[in-house]
Order: sequence, then C-alpha cells, then structure tokens
Amino acid sequence: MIKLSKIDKYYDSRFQRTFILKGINLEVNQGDFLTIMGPSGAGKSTLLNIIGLLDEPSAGEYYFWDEPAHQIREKQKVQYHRTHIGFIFQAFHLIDELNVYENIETPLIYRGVKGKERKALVADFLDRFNIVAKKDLFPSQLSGGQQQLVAIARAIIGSPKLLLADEPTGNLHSEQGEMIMKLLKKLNDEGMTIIQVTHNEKFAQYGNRIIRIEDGLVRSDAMNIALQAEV
Amino acid sequence: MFKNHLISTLRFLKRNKIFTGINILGLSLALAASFIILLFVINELSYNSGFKNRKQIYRVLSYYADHNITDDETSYVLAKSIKEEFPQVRYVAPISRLRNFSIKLKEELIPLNNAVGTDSEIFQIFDIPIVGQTKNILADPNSIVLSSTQAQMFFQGEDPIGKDLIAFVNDKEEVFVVKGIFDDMPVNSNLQADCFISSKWPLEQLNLRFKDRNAETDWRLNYWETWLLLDKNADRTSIDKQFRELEKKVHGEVADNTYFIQNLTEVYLGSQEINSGQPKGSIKNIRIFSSIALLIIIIAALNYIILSTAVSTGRSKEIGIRKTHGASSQSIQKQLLNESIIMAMMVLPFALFLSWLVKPYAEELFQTKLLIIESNIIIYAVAYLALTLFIGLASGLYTSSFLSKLNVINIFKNSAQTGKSKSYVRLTLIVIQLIIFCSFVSGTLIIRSQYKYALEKDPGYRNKDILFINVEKIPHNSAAFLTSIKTYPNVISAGGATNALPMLSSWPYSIELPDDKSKKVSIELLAVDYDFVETMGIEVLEGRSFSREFGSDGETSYLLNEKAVEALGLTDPIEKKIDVEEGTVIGVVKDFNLHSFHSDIPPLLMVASDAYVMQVAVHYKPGTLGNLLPLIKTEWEKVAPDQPFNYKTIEEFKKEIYTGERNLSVIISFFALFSMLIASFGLFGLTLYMVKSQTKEIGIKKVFGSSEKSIVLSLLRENMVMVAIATVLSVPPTILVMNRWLTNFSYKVDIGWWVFALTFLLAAFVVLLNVFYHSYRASQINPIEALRYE
Repeated sequence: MIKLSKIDKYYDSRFQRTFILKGINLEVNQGDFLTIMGPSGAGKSTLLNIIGLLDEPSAGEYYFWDEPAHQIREKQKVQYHRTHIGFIFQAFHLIDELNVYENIETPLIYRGVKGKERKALVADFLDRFNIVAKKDLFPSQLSGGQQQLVAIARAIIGSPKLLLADEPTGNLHSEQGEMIMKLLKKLNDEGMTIIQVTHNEKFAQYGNRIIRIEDGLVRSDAMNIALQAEV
Repeated sequence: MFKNHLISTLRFLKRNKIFTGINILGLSLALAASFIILLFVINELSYNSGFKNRKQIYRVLSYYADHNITDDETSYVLAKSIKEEFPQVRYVAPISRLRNFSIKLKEELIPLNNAVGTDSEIFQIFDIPIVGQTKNILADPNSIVLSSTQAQMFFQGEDPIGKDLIAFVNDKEEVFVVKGIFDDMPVNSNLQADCFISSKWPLEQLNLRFKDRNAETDWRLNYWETWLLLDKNADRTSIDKQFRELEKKVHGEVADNTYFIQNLTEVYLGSQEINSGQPKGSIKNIRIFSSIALLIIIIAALNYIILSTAVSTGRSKEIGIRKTHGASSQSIQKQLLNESIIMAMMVLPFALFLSWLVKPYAEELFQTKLLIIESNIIIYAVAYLALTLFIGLASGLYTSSFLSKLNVINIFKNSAQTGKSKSYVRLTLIVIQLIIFCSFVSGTLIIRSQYKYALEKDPGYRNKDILFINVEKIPHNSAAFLTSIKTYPNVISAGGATNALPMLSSWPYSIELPDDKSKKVSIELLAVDYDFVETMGIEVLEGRSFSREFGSDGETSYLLNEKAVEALGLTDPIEKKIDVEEGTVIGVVKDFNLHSFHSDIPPLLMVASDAYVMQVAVHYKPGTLGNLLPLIKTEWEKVAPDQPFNYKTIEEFKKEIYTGERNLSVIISFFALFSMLIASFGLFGLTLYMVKSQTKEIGIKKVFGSSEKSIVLSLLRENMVMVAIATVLSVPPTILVMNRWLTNFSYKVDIGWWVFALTFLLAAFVVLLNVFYHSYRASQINPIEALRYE
C-alpha cells in the first residue's frame, strides 16, 4: 500500500547540495507497525512527512495507496488527509483555543460529518479513551499523557487507514509513554497501519518492523525479533 | 464548521488581549470617524431626493454674459411666457419668499420665515400632496396652504380647512382662508415652506418698493425663482432654442442675458458658481472628506494586517494542525477572513456609540447640522454595514492569504514567521501609515499657514484698529450717527460705504470704453462717503480723494484703481470724463484687495454717495476699543433704539471670511490626530511583539558585551529610518494635493520646506514615544533567561 523507491530529499545551497534523504526504498503493508529509528538529524521526521504527504521528495517515486504521490494534486492531498492519514506529534499539537471535545471533533468537521453523527462519534471516543470527565477542559489544563491521548483520539476519529506518529512519547514520562504505546499497539492489533518515529529502544519494540536511518540512508530493515520470538 | 471557527476565533481574541484591544480601539476609532463623515456625505448626496419626479423638475437660471454671472432669480413674467409658449413644459410656477410675513395667534404676531408666494402649479411640479382643495388652490388671492407643523401650531387639533387666519403682510392686516395642508417639506430640500400664498403678495411688495414699475410685467424685476416640470420625453435642446427666441423678443437682437434650465438633482451640489441665496453643497468638500475617511480606514486596516501577521506565531500552530487534519487552504482562508469580519462586526456597536458621542463636536467642525434624516435611515444602515464589512475584508484579505499558504512543516519547526521578507512587508505597511499621518500633518500646517497669511497680509488698506458697524437698518440716520461718532477723541476718523472690506458680494457694471463707445468692459463699483477712503487708509496715487471742499463731489466724481485705469485704457486719467453717469475721474488709488484673497483685485470705480451707506468703518486709536464701544453703543441707541447694534472689528470680520479655511485645518488636524492614535496603537503593539521575538538575539548580543545603550539605540535607529522615509515619500502627494487646494486663492503662501521638517520632527517624536519603552525593556533582558533553551 505504501511504496517508496529511490526517494531523495535535498536542499540546494549556493555551493553544495545537502542530502536529508538519499535513495530510500521502502514498502509498508496493510497492518504493519513500522518503527523508524536513528540519531538526530538522520532524516526520520522528513521521511515521515513525505509519507504523510506534508512534504514532497526532491526525486524518486512514491506510491500512496498505489497512486503516484509525486503527481497528486493539492486538492487530492487534502482529501487524503481527511480520509486516509492521521497524525500525532511529539508536542501533541492540540489547538489551544479549543477544549478536548472540540479538538477531537475538528477532523470530523473537515470530513463533512453531520452534527448529530459527530456528537455520537465524539462521545463514543471520549468513552473509549476514558476522558469523558475531561471533555470541557482546555489543553493547558491537561497532563502531557492526557494531551497525547486526546491527540490520538483526534487522529483516529476519522478512522484513517494510516497513523503517523512523530516521537509520540518524546515529551512524556516513561509511565505515560508506556500507556500511549500500549494504546498504539492495541490500535495496530485492530488493523490500523502505524508508522512511528522514536528514539526510545524499548518503545521501538512495540512495532513489528524496525528500520534504522543514518545520514539519510536506510542502514537496516528488520522484522522485530522479539516479536517474532513471541509468535 | 462556522461554529468551530467562531469559537476558536473568540477564544484566541480573548487570550491575546493586547492584540484584540489595539485592534478594537483602532477599528472603532476609524469606523466612528468614517461614520460621521458618511453621515455628512449621505445627507449631502441625498439632498432634494425626496421629490419623486425630480428628474423632470427644473429651475430657470439667467446668465449675464457681460459680468459672467449666473443668477437663479428671474422675473415674474418669465413663468407666464413659458406657460404660453413652451409646449413641452407641463407646469411652471414662479416663487418668491416674502419678507416679513406673520400670522396672528391670540393677539400675538408669529413670524413665518418661509412664506412662499407662488401659483397653484407649484403643487403639481413638486408633486406635493395636499389635504383640502386640490385644484387651483391659490387662485383666490387670500388663500393660504399651511404646512402640517404650522397648522398644528395655529389650530391645535382642530380641522383648519376653511378657517380664517389674520396675517400681517406688506404692512397691513389681511384675512386669509386656509385651503389646504401639506406635509412638512423634507429638511434636505431646496423648497422650504411654512406656507404657500398667492403670488399677488410678493408682487404687491415689489410694486411698493419700485413705485414706477409694474412687477407683473417688468422683465427686469428679477426677484422670482422659476420652477417647471418638463414632459417626460421633452428635448432639452428644443427648450434652448425656444429660450433664444424668447430672449430676442423681449430683450432685442443682442440679448444681454440668456436663460437656461438646471435639473433639480443638480441644484444643490452643482450651483457653486451660481448667485443664489439658496443653500449650496460643495462637491469638493464631499470629495475631501470622503478621501479622509478612506485614508483613516486604510490606516486601521493596515494596523490589523501588521498586528495579525505579527501575532501569527500563536495562530500558525492552529493552522498547521487544522491542515494536517484535512483543512484545505481555502477553508483556512475563509476562517481567517471570517475572523477579521467578526472583529469588525464586534466593533460596529462600539463605533456607533462613539460617533453618536462625538456628533455634536463634529457638527461644530463641519459647520453644519448632522441630521439623522428619517428617509435616509436604510441608506445609513446599508452604508455602515457595507463599510464595516469592507474594513473587515480589507484587513483580513492579506492576513488570510498569507497565513493560509504557510507550509505545515515550517509551522511545526517554528520558522514560518521569522522570515526576513515578512518583516519587510510589515515595515512597508508601517511606512504607508506614517506617510498618511505625515500628509495629514503637513496638510494641516499648510492650510494653517495660508490662513495666517490671509489674516496678516497687507491688503492695501488698514488691517487693524478698524471697527465696522452695520447701519443697514437705519438708512436715513446713518449720516447723523456718523457725525456723532466722530466727536469722540479716540475716533481718528469714520466713514461709510456700501460694504465692509474685504467686500463679500460684488457690484459689477459694464462700462463703455472712453475711446471707443461701442466696447464695454466689466468693472466693479463701490459707493463710499467722503471719509471712507481716508478712514480705511487707501492710498491715493494721483489726483485727490473725495472731499467736502469740492461741492461738486457727488455721484459724478469717480476714483479709479490702477487696474481700472488700465482696463479703460486711460493714459492721463485725471479729469477724464467717463460713463456711468457722465462723471469725471478725480483721482487714482493704489490697487487694494477689494475682495478676500480668494480672488484677484478687480478694476474698481468708487463713487461718493451717502445714499448707499450700509456699513460704517471707524478708525480708532489703538487700544481704545474697550472704552469706545459703550460710547458708540449709546450713540446707536439714540438713533435706533429698537434696532440691534451689530458691529465687528476688522480682525473678527476677516476671521469670519476665512472660517472655511480655519475649519478645514481644524478638521484635518483632528484626523491627523486620529491617524496618529490609530497608527500608534499599531506601532506599540508591533514593537511589543518584535521585542519578544528578538529576545534571543538581544540575549546573545548582551552575552557578547553589547551595552544597554547600544541596544536601545539600534532599535530606535531602525524606527528613525522609517520615519525619514515616510516623511520624504509624503512630500510629493502632499504638495500635489495642497497646490490644488491653494488654487482657491489668488494670493497664497509658498509651501516651505519647514512644513516637512516640522512634520518629520512630530512623527519622529510620536514614533520614539511608542518605541522607547519597549526598547528600554528589551535592553534590560537577562541573557540567562533569554537564552535558556525551551
């Protein structure tokens, strides 16, 4: 469903070309839980952004749901953001001016879901994530873990096919991080395809496949041994 | 979706109180100012719009080619001729307002200021609905048609139709029968009337005044406005042709005056050049004020743009999030546009309140009543809403298109708003604001200096220590009054004339050239008594002034000014015989400014005659006015005990003449202040955000040993450069516009460089005041805190 071949991302300055990504080949299948690891500045986030159609590769071919993404028009991308892709971020990125309920509701509005249905759906998610009591609070009144919980609820309420998580536990205590990872694992078990970027070795193990990036190149791509052993 | 946007907008505004406060203040000031101007403009433009068939209503104007004067008064007989000979004129009526018409109410005489003498067709021309008799309502000379206000006053609830009223007209009592009632005329119309009566009464009044002439048939007794209603598809050129024929018939082959018609829709705003006692609007003022309103709106809109792009840091994150969750650029743009429109709408009630509050002061400034006219209410509402929407759109358009196009990745990397190019845009906008401010300031200074110039420039006669006393009401006793005043030791001299100087009206006359009697030139006349020339200190160059010693000095001795000597082609003027009434030139005076400095010095002929004295000029010893005035007043009371004592010093009189200029300068300086306030709010807010975003930079500078003083200076320097650029750029438009304004004057100041220097200093002061506080605060930043990561 996702296929990258020979993806380059570079910036041209006056005298030289700086590569962020170089010749990335990657295939992700339905139901995968892929972890991207690597040191700071390796290009992990850029890769995630390209996959999430936020950024465009400088060269190479990218197929998103078998569609050549390097040719997708802006309008179509907006459509994909509405129906196919959910995002969660290290800094949570909730809208400060909206409360929990309204934050979760936002993507449904853009998908054109009718008011009644929206209400029911948000209520359902609040319930599922155990945050009914917090629905009227604003992001600044929540702990980091709670904020990320809301962010995940918001990301998946439109039932996207792909969830992209950019260091979802980076700003959290380990305990809260654990909770978030367990939630992601559960979503994956239910069939959601997830790609996450992380620095944390332990949390990386939640995925069923780990790729390591260094200096814009894929250094290794392996099925998660621990998980396989478990199977 | 709208609700979601509205919520986040309102909460964002609530959280960013400085941003919101500054914008609300700026927008409401700008809106209030433009509301006031709009009220004025709408009222002016809606003048005479209360008459349904206004497109077909015309008045007849009369043009006198010799003097290049157009007058709105014609003879009574003209209407009659038009009625008989012009088939395309459906109705025509002459109207004349009666002086001194009063009606008795319980033994008391109530004067009606707008008693209109006319014929029945006036009601058809203006389509005035009447209760009562409908046909030929004024046919009986003792008929009267009252306005509903007057009917209410004289009959208090009774039905007035058919009842009698006792009126005092032409110095005698007459019984009038009320034949009908009409609704009060719209206040913004040229046809003002308390009552209509038969044209018999003004005719009688004229016949009493001009005993040897018949006002009903005399083509030269021009005391009537002639109004007519044209057929719908009448051809205006055919009317012109008919007028030419009529002129030939009544005035002979070489007609000295020609008639033409003016549509009612042009009467109010298109009559600047027409000699008329009717209220006139000025399309020029409408233009000036509308452009001021527009400039103020621009400043406020720029403020919004400057601030909202500056605080976009807080906003861009939300935009990024919305985009990653499926918001398109268009929907973001719509959201931001809604935001600025909501802001403007929130300001609307506040602005309305503010303009209501300042309305009385504005009335004083504009020298006109700012009426809220009922028939215009819908227009006001629509215009105000449209303006509010416009300001919302104008402010939101740039911000929304700029912010909605931001790249999501850049937003999350927090680098979207620190781009250098964006801050250049902001600086440009501030410079534009400053240009507008500077133009207002230098415009005010130029108008002020012209005003001062007009008051102080030597007009060629005594410019101070002169008192003018209006003696119109005592035409027979003015000589006695003058003699009695002259006895006081503090009076150096006193003399009378038809007019005070500078003369406001004019008395043009066509005079034959002495060498070639077939040619005529236009010259102006001024009748003075023996002492006026000396009292006013008008310099005699050749010959002599009028003097009692020469018994012959009467209406046949003339003084000319240099211009007149030139116009008449005289080489050695003294003792030359010239026209008027076979007179002799006895002297030549130096050219002086007969009229205000708006116009050139005309060729002038002065004639000595006590018969026309309307104004008395008194030249008093400097500083004695205070004790002289009560003495003169007692003299006045001796000759005219029941008449008010009207006087003014020449300084007061000149100030009165140039009130238009003074008011304009005050108005523009007010708007300069407004623009300064609004722009300052913006600058204040912006500097606050700028300093915040430069915290890190300042921290680093301090770590590397920059002194606090140099940090303050570097911040100030940037702003001074902006002020300098703005001042320079404001010069060409200001000079262009002000030079056009100065063409109103024949005698005018040069626009000096000091105007712009002063403007620069003022703008610099205002800007520094705004920026200095923030700069100082910025210099006090603790580098440890500024550089702490996250």
